Amino acid sequence: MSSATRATERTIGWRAVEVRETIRETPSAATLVLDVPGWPGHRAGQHVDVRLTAEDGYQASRSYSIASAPEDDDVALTIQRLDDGEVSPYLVDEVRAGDQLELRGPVGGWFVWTAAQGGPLFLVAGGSGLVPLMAMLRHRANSGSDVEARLLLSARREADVLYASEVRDVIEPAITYTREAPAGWTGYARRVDGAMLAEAGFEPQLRPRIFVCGPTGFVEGVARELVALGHDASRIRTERFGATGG
Amino acid sequence: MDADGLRLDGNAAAGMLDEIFRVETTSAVATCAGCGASRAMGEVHVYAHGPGVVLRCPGCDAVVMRFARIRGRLVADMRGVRTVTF
Amino acid sequence: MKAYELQGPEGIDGMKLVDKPVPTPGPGEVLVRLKAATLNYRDLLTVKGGYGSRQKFPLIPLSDGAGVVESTGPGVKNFAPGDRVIGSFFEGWLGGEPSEVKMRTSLGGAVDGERSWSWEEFRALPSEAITVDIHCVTAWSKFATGWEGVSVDTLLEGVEPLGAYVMAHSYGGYTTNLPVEDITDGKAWVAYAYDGAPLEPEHGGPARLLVPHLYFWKSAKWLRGIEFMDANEPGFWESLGYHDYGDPWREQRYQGD
Repeated sequence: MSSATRATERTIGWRAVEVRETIRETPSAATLVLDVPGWPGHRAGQHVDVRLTAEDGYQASRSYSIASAPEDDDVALTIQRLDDGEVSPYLVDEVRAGDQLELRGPVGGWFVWTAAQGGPLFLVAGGSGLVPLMAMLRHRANSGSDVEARLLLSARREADVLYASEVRDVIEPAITYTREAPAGWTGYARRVDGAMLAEAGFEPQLRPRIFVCGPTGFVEGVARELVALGHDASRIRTERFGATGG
Repeated sequence: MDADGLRLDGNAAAGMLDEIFRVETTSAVATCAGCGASRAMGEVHVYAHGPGVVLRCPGCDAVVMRFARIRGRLVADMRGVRTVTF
Repeated sequence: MKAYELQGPEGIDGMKLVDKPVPTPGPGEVLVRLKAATLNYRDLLTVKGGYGSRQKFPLIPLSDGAGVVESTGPGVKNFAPGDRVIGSFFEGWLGGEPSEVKMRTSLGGAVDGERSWSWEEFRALPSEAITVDIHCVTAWSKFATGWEGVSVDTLLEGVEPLGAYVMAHSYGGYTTNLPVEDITDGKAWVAYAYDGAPLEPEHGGPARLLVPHLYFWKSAKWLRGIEFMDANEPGFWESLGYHDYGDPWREQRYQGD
């Protein structure tokens, strides 16, 4: 879909969309590329709500961050499978090109970053919390922005890292592995703490714009540490994915 | 006490709030009727594990808004918010 | 002086605005000109009659207020006229960590008509394993779920129900209403374990009400207490439109179903 066909008015409410392509990102995560007629465009950080209706009429909806950059023609969502999830196992393992979903969005105007907002930009991701932050990094690259950016990513193990090769196209990330570090790893191998945030991020005097995304416990812990380091709470924006991530 | 681990934030309620207010709501600023604190709706604590959705003030934990879908219609109780500035 | 006085046990209808002579403080008493009074849950219970059968009428239902000392009685050393004061609800707890002993010095003393258990006392009560099907209002059911808990009948042993209905109170301010007969005679428990492990906070732990024959939102999580009521007042979700009773077999999800 080209930019010429983008609607200027956004649609509020559910609409049917078709899955154009599925991409397996990791053993437990997949990206769904969607065909959304009249997609009005989005800003990096926004998400959509996806709704599934079972044969008996039972409906379940979940929120998924938009992985694609605003400059892309496609709308792509990256979904992390939760072991006891009701919706994510289906979206990650069962959905095929040609399948239909119901979608609402884009939504969210607070947890967004546009290049015009400036920086420096400090992004802190816990697991699949990387998805909306990746959209921000893609947008930054596409817009030719010279805003300085740093990414701290927390992952259980190497196999769980989303967009492993593409991330390095747009930034040199700091990564910490919390369960199992790869052989020969000399980087961080512990839960994110204040010392790590101080090393990997920017000094508070530089007043960075900070976005933290991931499981609830992760996000709240990181936000507390950042404030304790002296960062202005009003410069920190958070998005919680719930108990076990998004 | 609520389900801390299941706590979300206003971002998770954005779709529902947009359908109600018909404008982007997470960047709107809400003033808690309990403690008077003002915060972006994106920062408000959201609990969606029960029969409905409860929004609580991050400062004093008072219920700011609550929603339930009753016979397919969304019922909103917004007594816990003094004002919302869009 | 003017006062709202409870004349008898008729509840809110028994409240009358009366004129009373200004009292003279006796030994150890202070007379406070009240500038502001708050509504304490105890005041609500007092008016509704749930606070205890030993209430003597007439009485002014008040627990907390702030004002200025007007005069002091014989022997009062710590206060003088003009002092700005607030009442202390827990007369033996002025600061520091709460404790059961300190909290028993609450205004009015140990409440008649209230029974409470510490966690240890609760876990020492006879308990049982329970295997039941539960019915969620979103139309799914979970079969043969395993719990451990104390029967509500055990908690109510020797207690004369003070009403035909109860309100289950949860930490966090959630409430749900139920008829007394639906939580007695082996129909309900206070559960503390699920699937052989202590109940997680996400599932209502450390203790929740378990009423399997009704829709599962009636099984109040994070249970704090059960209060008897005369009338079937709607709880937190019921006041938003969920059904007062909630029988899954009659699909009573919403008011009017």
